[in-house]
Amino acid sequence: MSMTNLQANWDAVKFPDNLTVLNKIQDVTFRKGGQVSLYGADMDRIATTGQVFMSAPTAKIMSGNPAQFMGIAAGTTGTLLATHKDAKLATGGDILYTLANAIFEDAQTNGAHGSWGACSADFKAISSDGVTHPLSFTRA
Amino acid sequence: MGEAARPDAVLIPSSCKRGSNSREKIHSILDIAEPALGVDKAAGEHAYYRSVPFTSPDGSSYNLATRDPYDTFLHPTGHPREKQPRYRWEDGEGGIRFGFLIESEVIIGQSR
Repeated sequence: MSMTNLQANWDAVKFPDNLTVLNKIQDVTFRKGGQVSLYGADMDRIATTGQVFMSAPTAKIMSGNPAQFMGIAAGTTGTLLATHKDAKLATGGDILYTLANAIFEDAQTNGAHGSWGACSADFKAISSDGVTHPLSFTRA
Repeated sequence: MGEAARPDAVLIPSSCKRGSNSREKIHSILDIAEPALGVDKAAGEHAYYRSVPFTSPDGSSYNLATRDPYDTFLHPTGHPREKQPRYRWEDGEGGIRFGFLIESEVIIGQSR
């Protein structure tokens, strides 16, 4: 089966290592975190130069299993892995995200009356050398 | 390409990206990175790429591809050669550059 060029559903979401699988995953968001600094001077009324000096990569996961996130201590550091599956499970269509040096920042849980409980987890990531982006991509 | 000749890293200009969305762009970079790195998929290897903030001669940024997602462009913080180059770079076609680890050479240089 050829690749569909569509992704649907997440699998093999893991943190802080390759052995710890997070389950009941409903949503995963990776942000590369580029931050544009604008410059203007003299008679400028609109910035005339924009440059990304710093990036602040982040990730957010939503799950139906609040306990697994609420049990992680803020500051826990490791690798966040997630596989975005090909929509029809075609070979070679999965996108694998690896967020190195991911730092667990916060967990929020909620559950309205008569509804499924849910939880979200927020991560920030740092670079090992100050220039290499911690978020890498590959395919399976 | 023999095992010994495999580069440890490849720098690929972002101008090599093709497609209109991130999925197509990811595949277009990996289409270059996997053969350039000599990735052995049967052995479970992958090519991982991420951005590095350097500009190629054509003005586009570079993507660093390696067989290990934890490889860095420079020596990491805390290393004796912190933030100094890890690779010796050789120019390839289309703005692609092949990187070979120079850790042993760096250590020799450090002792002088």
